Amino acid sequence: MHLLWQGLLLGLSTGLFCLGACAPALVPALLVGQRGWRGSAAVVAQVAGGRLLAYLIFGAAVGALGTALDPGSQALRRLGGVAMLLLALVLAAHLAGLGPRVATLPVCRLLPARVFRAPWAFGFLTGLSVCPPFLLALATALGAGGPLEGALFFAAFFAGTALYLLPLVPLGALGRWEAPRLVGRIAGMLAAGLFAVLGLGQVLLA
Amino acid sequence: MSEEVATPVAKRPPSLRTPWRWTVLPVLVSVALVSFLVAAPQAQRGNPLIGVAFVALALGVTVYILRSGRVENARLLIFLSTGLLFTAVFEISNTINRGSILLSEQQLATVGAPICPVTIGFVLPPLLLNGQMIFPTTVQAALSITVMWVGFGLLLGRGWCSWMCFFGPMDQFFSRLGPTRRGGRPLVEIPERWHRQLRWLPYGLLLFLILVALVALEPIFCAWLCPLRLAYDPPAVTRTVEWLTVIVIVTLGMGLLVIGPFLTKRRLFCTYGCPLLPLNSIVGLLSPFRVKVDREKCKDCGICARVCPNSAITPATVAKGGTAMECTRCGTCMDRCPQKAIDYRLIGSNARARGAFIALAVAFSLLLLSSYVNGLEIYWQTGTMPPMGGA
Repeated sequence: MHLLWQGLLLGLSTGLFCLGACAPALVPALLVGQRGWRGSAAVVAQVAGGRLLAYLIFGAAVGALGTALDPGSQALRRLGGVAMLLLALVLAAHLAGLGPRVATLPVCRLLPARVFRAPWAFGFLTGLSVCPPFLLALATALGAGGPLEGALFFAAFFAGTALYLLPLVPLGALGRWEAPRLVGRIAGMLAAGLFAVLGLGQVLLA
Repeated sequence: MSEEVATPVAKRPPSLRTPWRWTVLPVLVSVALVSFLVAAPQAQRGNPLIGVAFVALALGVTVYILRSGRVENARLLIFLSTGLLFTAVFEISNTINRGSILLSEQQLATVGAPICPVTIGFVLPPLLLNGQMIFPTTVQAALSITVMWVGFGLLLGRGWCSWMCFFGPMDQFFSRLGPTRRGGRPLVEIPERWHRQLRWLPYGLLLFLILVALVALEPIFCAWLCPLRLAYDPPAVTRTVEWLTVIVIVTLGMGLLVIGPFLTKRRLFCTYGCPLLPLNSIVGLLSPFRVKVDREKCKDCGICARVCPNSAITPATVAKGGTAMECTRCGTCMDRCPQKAIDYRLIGSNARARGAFIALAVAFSLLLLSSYVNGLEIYWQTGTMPPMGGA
């Protein structure tokens, strides 16, 4: 119980930063679709679901590894870099409407084609992107005592941070007009470029 | 019975000339504003003759524009002079106060950098939401330039970009310099269907920069992307990462400020790359002035769309009787329109506002110009110059 409470508090206290870290990917992705409030809420829910899945898997893995994994380790930073690169690819493909075409590239066959147009994929990859709140959660989950405890801790952390995703719902509803959709697409492409550069830097210089 | 021979009445060509009786008041406003502002206590450091010269210039330029009905030449004279003198003052100030026109990381950390209005859109959100100043300058400098820009934006709308902005003259100059093919067309034309998409580029860029500024608390546009750093605060190169910055800045700068405008005769940075454009356009919606097309006079010849350096007037906007909200009120379309169907009008009405707009635009642009002349005068007399924009 203490672990859940700790995760929730950590999520609530750092959630605004979480929203900020994911916003460059999420805001443009939400803007580009022609959808109303309900559709937008569904997308936000899918993104949140993808992030929860990533957190649960990661939390369980970290809980199982225990203290064997150093939060500042090279491998972890490289993993974060790879996640950022994938996020950039998925985001760019989604925004350019190239999902199916990109998915046929040899390197992308590792992932199912629908990943390139599915909001949960953003959620999953943003969940794996290493940001300061994520590292804080990771450091705590290392001492959780097992895979179940690690997963529970990350689930509570997710619940705390997910609250901050709610303000994104009205943004998605703007996508019914062409101008915000174009603006979102451009901002998203720039964000994809930034994530690609950051991810590459993290992979090469970690 | 003698037959009356009908002699053809010579039809006067259409003109936007303002009659004398409507010229007097705008001229008085322009002259009074310049006199008042040039004589303000903080501007009384220089030779009074310079102040008198600026008052005379205000008189001459306002009369010329209103009586000739032509805006472009006089505006260009003021605008390009602003760019030239601002550049001189900026570089001299940096050389004196920083030791170099180049900006090194060490100077950035210790001295800071002069704030510019282009940064307002992404510097203010973290400042207002988190209390974090992400640009290496003082909060006071950022707020004062914001207040100045909001004031001019509310008054002149995107007129700021063609009358007052000290960065705009660079792509304006090269876009004017560019050669034309037969029919007055530029060497490279930007198809309208491209423009319809590209027009949203500054909006997307600003959204991206705001999000990154809020997350990373970094002005990445200034650090990595600003093409204006080709001339203003170019980075001192000592490390690989700075070389990369220089490559990006030089490529974007040459493309958007020099070669691109030369080939397309369009102000490419001001139209597709300036992060201040969205704010200027939105604030400009509150400005009392609009550029409108008289549909009864318009023959849909398309000349206005062809000559607009900002691509802000297109056949689609002409059909609606106006311009896009990105119009910089430069007056080029009005001067070139053979029917003289385009003019400054008051918002929400069809009332002509040429006199009022020109009086204010001339007065405030000359005021800005006079401040640079003042800076050069101080340098001439004392060998010193105050640092720019809070640096």
